[in-house]
Amino acid sequence: MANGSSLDRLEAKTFTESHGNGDCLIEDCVDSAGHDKAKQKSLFCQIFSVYLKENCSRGNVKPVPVMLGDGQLLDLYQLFSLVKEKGGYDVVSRKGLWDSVIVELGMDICVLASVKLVYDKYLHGFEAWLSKTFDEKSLKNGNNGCLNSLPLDLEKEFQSLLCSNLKDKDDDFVPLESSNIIKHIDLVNQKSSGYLLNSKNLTNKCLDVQHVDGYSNDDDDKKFGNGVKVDLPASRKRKRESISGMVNWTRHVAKHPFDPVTPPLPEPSKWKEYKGGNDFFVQLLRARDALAVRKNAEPNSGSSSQKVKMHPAMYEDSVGHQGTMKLRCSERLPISPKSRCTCCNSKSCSANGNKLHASVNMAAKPDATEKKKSTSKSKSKWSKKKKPVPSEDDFRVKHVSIGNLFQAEVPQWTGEVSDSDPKWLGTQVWPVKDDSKLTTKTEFIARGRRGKCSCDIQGSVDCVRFLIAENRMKLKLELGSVFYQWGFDKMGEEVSLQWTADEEKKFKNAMRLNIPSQNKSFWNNPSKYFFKKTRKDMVSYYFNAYIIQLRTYQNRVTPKTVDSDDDEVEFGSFGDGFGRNRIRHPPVEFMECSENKQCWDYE
Amino acid sequence: MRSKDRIAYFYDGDVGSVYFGPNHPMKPHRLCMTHHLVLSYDLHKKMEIYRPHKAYPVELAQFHSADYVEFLHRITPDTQHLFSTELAKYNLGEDCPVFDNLFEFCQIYAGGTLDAACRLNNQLCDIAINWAGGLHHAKKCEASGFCYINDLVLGILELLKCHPRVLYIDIDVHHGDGVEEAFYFTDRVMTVSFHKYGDMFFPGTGDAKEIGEREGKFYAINVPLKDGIDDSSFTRLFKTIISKVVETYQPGAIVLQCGADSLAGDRLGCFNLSIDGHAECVRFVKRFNLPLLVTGGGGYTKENVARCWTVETGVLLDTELPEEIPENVYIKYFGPEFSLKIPNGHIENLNSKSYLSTIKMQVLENLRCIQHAPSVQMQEVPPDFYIPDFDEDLQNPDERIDQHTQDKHIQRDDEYYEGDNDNDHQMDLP
Repeated sequence: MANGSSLDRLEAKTFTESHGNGDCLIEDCVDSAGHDKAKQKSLFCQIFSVYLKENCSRGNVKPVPVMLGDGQLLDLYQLFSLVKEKGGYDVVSRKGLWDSVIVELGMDICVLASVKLVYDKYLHGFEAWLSKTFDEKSLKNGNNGCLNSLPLDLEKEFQSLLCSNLKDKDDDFVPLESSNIIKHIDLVNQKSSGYLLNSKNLTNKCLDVQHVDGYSNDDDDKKFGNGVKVDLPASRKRKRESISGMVNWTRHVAKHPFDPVTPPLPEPSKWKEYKGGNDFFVQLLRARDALAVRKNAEPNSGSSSQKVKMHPAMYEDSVGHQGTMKLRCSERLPISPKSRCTCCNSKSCSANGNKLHASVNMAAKPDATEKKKSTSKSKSKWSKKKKPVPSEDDFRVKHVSIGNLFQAEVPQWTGEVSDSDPKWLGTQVWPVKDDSKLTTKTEFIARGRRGKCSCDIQGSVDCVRFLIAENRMKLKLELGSVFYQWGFDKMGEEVSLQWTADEEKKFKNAMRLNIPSQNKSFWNNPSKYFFKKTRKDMVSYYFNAYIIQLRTYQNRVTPKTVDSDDDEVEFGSFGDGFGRNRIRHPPVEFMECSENKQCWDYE
Repeated sequence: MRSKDRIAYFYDGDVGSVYFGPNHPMKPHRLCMTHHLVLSYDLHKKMEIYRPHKAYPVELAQFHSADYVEFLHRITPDTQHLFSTELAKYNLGEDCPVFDNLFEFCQIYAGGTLDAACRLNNQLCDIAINWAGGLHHAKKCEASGFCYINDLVLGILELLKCHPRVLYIDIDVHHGDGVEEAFYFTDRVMTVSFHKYGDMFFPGTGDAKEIGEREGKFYAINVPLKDGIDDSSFTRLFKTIISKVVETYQPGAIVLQCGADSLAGDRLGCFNLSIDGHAECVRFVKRFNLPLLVTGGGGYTKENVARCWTVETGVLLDTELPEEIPENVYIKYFGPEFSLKIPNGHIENLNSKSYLSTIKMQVLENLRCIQHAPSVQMQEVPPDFYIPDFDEDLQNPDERIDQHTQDKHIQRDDEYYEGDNDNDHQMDLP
């Protein structure tokens, strides 16, 4: 539904533009009297889409438009208003009026159960949400809170739409609580036109844009948006008739991807010149072009951060308590498709699209764990958990790219071995040439851990450190200069010796300031903290000392949940014994640790 | 006492200090840890270790487009804001960030694979190992999935100078799309990739229906798997397919990409393999006694990567390693158990027996097509390998295409029901 409405608006916009009339179409439909029904419907669409978004920010994703089992589209608005007329869901159910609802919908009686289910799933919650929203509002702000912001006619319509349900409420029109609704309506008020209005519906629109774009990118025209379902509100805009044919045709092609299309569609490369044969196709191409132009021109279509700002759900009070992180994660669902849209222009559309998709999927999981929060920032390979999310793009199978730009040039096999340049064979580092040690000590190959030394307290921290040092020394003697060549001198906690205690402390504190989710990181500007150290030094310290120390702590205190990828986690403190002190006074530290109950767990 | 195979192992101490940036799962430091663990087990005493040369841009341009290589050479973190168009064009950014010494890093790992291939070509060794290589996603004109330069393609091109046919095997959890794409049209390279496919898992390619085109038709094999595959099903499938592939294709050399992200507990992966299962694949490939180039690849839980590649180095050296990890400066990364074993994953195996056998049948079916249509290059193969073309009908190209299209339809429906919750409200109607 939301899909449909925005598409509709968008198309109308496109076409009004082409008629030299840049005015907003909402304006169109608001101003044209005699279109009450259409107005109501559009209002319904708007509010319903807000409801869906809010719902979906709670992880409750509901696909629109609604299709019944037999592929029939269901007009939610019509259903809603019919049921409302008859007194609401409960009344209709009690009195057994569903039959007549179905009949009035003009549908076969056999879909009764489906329709009822759809109502239950979509509109029942919507109804409750609506009245709750109204209640809250009247409690909080009094009746007139935002009333002013609503144009009178809208107000009345909405009232009439809902009156059957809200008879028991104040007679005054109760203003809408959700600020996003207000925002919508404000926008209408300001008549600031399609641009803003559309930006509000970015998500929906971009889905559509992307459908259309997907068309252009798909090798096989007929595969286009196998899952695309375009719902057209029955009567909304003036210009709609001119395109309904095209939309119907598109819908048909989308629904029956393997039906032969008459006349056959041309190759994508020839679309520009394509003139005749299929009017709908020509129209579709024009719409696509117009959308592309709009997309580029639209100021809000730039970065996703802007979109986050624009997203109405960000203003919602109700989600505030969920914590910003959760909001961020779940909001991504509606946002991502848009950002993916922006990349449709590039030749690598399919590739980008796919990676982006991962983030969509991930974001759909509202119970995102700490780890995922930080990864969900990136539309990328490293999206860990993937939940299959219903998406029309599941059907756009990614194919291997073909052409000079992709394949390697493989010469024909001539049957002769051509010269493999022996110049680059690598420099032998080991065994060191002219080295007699080669044949010695073979008995030690692949030895395991000794686990003990000759000292009194075997297995103690000191003891382990002694063994490590011993092995290191042995390796050093054995390797000679190679030891340095491989950088073994810069491995392990040894590295921390080049750092003063102060520096270590500073580093530790700086790392604590990392907030991956906000892209705040020490690494963005490490020289801010340390002038003298090179980045390389710091990376080396990070892996060889910092993480190892952290890991040591984890091994001891939380052995069941060790994870060396700690740059992912926003961890708190991990004990005062961390760092140099820990190395210097292990027994003391251990005493401290044994105070910790977790430690007993481990013991 | 040397292993009877001559093993060349490539390592450059500089790779370990490369840092992709905070929160990036790719940590070249794992190469440091691997190398250190290999040495802790004294495996260096059984092999030769080389420092690779830094591949020259012109070498990289044997596969990659010159402009892309040139751009990689030029770009630095400080100047990248000036080139946003190019960055987008070459897909640099989030997955493939620009970091300090990026190009040097590419030169080292690509140089390693090139040198390895060169040594194999000159028969200076039987097995060459470059754990720093194996960046199989990189494309001709763009970076992808943490990969900038596709060293595998470069290495294979090098091997093709001396071998009519090269077999590429990929056990990374991600599809080896870069290599497959590069050799999609040729029958001189057969690519076989075992990977997770579906649920929009990166990179999104790797369906069993992708089999190559033109001369390369049937010379790309994809084994798409679902989450949680375990040792027994994976190794069984691997052995069945690979033995048939080697028997059919008769490669002159094998390139094995050992991405360790197919292990259980990987930060990005979703398989349930143990190190033993993973290494078993390496052991199996080694037994063919063909020139073998082994590279690394993915692997994002770095202590497991180090464990895995150390064990596999041991496997290639015919050396069994004791479970307890010897004391070394990185020992703490291997806690709390300090052993080579990794904990089992808890991912449910979604690969049913019937699914796996369907995949297997499909792959073997495609392989049979090779026997029916030996290419020019296959003339190298001894004649007794030819199976007479007794059923000419199968050769009818039209018919095959039809069948193929039909298969497509079937697959498509499958996906529709499996992956799509979109219409579930219709499905669960009473």
